[in-house]
Amino acid sequence: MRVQALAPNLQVELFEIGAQMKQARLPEEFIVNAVRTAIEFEGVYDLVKMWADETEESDRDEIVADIQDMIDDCSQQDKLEGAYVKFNDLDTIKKDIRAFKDGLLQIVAQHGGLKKLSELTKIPQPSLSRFFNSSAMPRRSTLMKIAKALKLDAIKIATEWSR
Amino acid sequence: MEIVITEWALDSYLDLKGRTAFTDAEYWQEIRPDVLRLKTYPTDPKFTQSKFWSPAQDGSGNLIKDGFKMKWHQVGNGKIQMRLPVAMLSEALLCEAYVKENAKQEKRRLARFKVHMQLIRMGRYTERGRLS
Repeated sequence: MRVQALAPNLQVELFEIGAQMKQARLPEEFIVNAVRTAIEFEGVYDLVKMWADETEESDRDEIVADIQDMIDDCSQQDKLEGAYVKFNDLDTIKKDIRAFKDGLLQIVAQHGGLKKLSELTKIPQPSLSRFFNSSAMPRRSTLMKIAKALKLDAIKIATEWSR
Repeated sequence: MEIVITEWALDSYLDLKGRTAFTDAEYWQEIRPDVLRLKTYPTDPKFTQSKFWSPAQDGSGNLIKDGFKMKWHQVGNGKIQMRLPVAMLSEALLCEAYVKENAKQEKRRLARFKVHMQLIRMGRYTERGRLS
């Protein structure tokens, strides 16, 4: 765990990687948040370094999605308590989430697809791909960005299982 | 010791269920009873087996303080290897479970765990109940 501020030379290294991310056409908002979060969280610093060292495009995409997940996780400022979910209910919840995401993906397709959505929301495309492919609970912040970008009303992004 | 289910753990279970990584029978007969061993940590002899329980290390081989991995081999129809990172503080906090695929993916997973450990220490996480 980080116990002191990241050394200046490592911060400079992060800014240099940020410049590489810009060259790779990652959204500027993502780059700024990645660098800022990496300065505070060693695990995010590790991921940013992994991105810089990685040569395989598909692995780089996974790292980008990981970094975005961690930026979102690190935006939580307090301890919260959510409702307990029984294991036996997971199947039903998973099906509800899948149906919700599949429906939303159809709307996204009508608006130009994931690439267009990435441009509009400033969320990296690998993150959006992971968002729609996984059965994990969608984040409200992501849903709000999608709704704003596609000018959707609240009912289109309403789900019991957002977090 | 109390066993805390974090939102990261719940979310990862949902994703693993979506991928049918393990069967319900494996959950009830193997995975859940193993996780419940944390109640008697460290006296349960299974914690001495490195194939089941080991300290978590980051991609550079540095130990993640108070971070451990619970491991299962050959679960699910695809006979995958499953990992459950656990933060061992005054309580055992279950973090993001994952299917181990390759070395690169595991490095990323442990970087995520490192972030989650830091967030837990800062009191910035969501509890989704306790396992009993």
